[in-house]
Amino acid sequence: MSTPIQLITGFLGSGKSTFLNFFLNNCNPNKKIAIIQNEFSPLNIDGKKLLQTNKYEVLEINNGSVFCVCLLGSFIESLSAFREQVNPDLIIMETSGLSDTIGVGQVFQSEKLKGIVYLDHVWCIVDAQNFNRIPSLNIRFQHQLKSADTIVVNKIDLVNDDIELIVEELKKVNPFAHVEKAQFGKIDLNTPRKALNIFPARNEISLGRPGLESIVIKSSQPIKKADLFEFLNKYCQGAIRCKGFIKFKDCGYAFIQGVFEDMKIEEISPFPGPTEFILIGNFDKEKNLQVIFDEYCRL
Amino acid sequence: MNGLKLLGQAFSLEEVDRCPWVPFVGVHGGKLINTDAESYLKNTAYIVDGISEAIKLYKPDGIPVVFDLQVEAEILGCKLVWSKENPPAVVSHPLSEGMEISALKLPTENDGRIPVVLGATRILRQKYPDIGLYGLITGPFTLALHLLGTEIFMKLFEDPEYVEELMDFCAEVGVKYSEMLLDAGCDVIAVVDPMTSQIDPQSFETFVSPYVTRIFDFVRSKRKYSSFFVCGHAQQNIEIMCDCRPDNISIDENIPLDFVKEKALKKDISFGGNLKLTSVLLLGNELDSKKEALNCIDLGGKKGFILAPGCDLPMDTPNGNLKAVSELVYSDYARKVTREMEHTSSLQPLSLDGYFKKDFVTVDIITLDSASCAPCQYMVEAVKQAASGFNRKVIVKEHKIKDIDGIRMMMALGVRNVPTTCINGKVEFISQIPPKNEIITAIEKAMV
Repeated sequence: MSTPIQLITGFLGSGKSTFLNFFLNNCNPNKKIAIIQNEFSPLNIDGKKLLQTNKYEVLEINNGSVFCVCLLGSFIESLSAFREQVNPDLIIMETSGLSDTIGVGQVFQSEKLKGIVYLDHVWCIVDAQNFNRIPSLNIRFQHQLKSADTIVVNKIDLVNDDIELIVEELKKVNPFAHVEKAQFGKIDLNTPRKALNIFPARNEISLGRPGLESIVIKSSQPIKKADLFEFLNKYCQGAIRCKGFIKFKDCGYAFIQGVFEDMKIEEISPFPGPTEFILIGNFDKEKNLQVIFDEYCRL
Repeated sequence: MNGLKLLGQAFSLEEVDRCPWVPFVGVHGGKLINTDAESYLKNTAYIVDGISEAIKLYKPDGIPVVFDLQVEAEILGCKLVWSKENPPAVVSHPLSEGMEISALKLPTENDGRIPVVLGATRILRQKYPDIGLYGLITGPFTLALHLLGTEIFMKLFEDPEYVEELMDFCAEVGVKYSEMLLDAGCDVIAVVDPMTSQIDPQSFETFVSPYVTRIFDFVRSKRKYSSFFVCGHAQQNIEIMCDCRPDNISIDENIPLDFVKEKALKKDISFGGNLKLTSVLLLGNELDSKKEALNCIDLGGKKGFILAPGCDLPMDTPNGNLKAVSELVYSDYARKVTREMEHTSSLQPLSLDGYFKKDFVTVDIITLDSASCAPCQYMVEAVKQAASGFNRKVIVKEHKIKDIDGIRMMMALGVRNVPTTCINGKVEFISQIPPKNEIITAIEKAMV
């Protein structure tokens, strides 16, 4: 079975650890959950305590407070060994608010991790009270939101503003993410229960499946719409999900989401960032889809 | 032409015959001499050996002496956690633990690991007078983040005076350490400030520009070159980075090279970087690396472009991939072959079922095209001559990679270089044209 990895992102103080706590407490107790923790991340005390209970297997990595994607080389070895030793049903990774959110997913394409783990879901925790308080980080923040599958608007009890206005703002940045409103990181589990089978539910199916992979495609170069579709049709037939944002040569920027018979494309306003999307499915393991995508960009 | 001169031409925006190549070898140097990252970064002799090995393998025009953004932070009181495979990580921030900015002291030549770096610089300077040595310093914003932690982002807007005071100190550290590195023999000071990619242009102009500009002006006053390294999503800041007047800006794969080229050249600044680190250099193969490098070279052009990875090379980067980039840089022929291989990643290898015939020896030569490429022509001629003495028991076939089937055959035979000769499906002669008797011996061996 390929093990799903879920990322929890969000800026410092947004409530990532509280959410993680809630998440773990509500997961199916029969599932084996493992956590990748940055040993020196400024996790709050509760978060640390939680991880000290022997309930969860923890892989500690030490990339300091500044988690740089350039330093992920050695992560391949340690994750591969950890996964083999622990064999969890789900791995959760809390990433620093400063990290390149899905860049970490690129290493799952290495020989040692391909078909062994895959990037399954990205949670982005947003502090409703402070989400637009630091304008200097606005661009960074937008990148985080764009990579999210689910945006959790946390601390809604602390704001007087209409929460729907905040949701509207966030939707402008990422129209496809599912948005949940939360107090103390607690979300309504009904939706995620349907989407993710990690919470107790009646009709459980097992997590993961053999050889499932996630492929992160990143390119600073734009691609023609027709070439994107050819790429997807030719090489990504095994995809069960595709999601991300694309920089087109001929028609600006767009979000894509879906599977190939049912691909939604929604134009968005230009932003200073590269194409970044994730494919989840079973692919030809001999092919480097990033290199093939780059070739299409050069057409 | 020596590498340093070539780099100088690129920095000065003169047309060059080939683009200069600067692999950012950090702890990867340790890998090359079978040493872990921690031992490597703490030992002058290891650094000298690692960089010497990198120079031998990758034939660079310039190379960093050490790629470690924690040297200054460690001296200033940040705690480090060492790793066997990565540079160390900063795990404590003295200014967030009650220390005052006024209590911070500028580093001296004898502090921390500065003597290790300067020692390595002096030896490498003597050993390689013709190669551009890059001295790396931690950019002031990244150093400030090391000292204060992520609190700095809140302080940008809550207490700008405090941040300015801190940035002023960090810039002074930069000037001081640059001076030491230049005096020890570095030719280029690279101000590595990855954390600036986190902030918007307005904050950059207020909190970064004045301080890095001071460092670049200082380097210029010493008549040396400077480069501004940034990685991550920093496209929004490229223009104002140029306004800080470095001689060069270096970026990673997140920013389009043609965009950087346009912005930088407009402001008379050279540029470089962009080679994909994770998906290609670390996880891809030699051909992927060549294609990636060729694309960068084509986009970068011959004026002002320096070919380099986007950031510090991961320790485990296969050296075959970096040697492949080096080959591409030096060989027009390798560039031609790589061009032919464009858009071929998707092809399937030809099936070899029933291809080899009993009682015959099959010699396959993979070429660019023997009609137009001299090395290919000589290889084909040499093989045909050698085969002629075997009374038609040897089948010689040329497969041109200009044809799709040629490429598919190349894949089927597991060939990675052109020209290559295979005998009965086994790679025998790569690139070099062997003497006739060696080919004959190899064929005879295959007949047994």
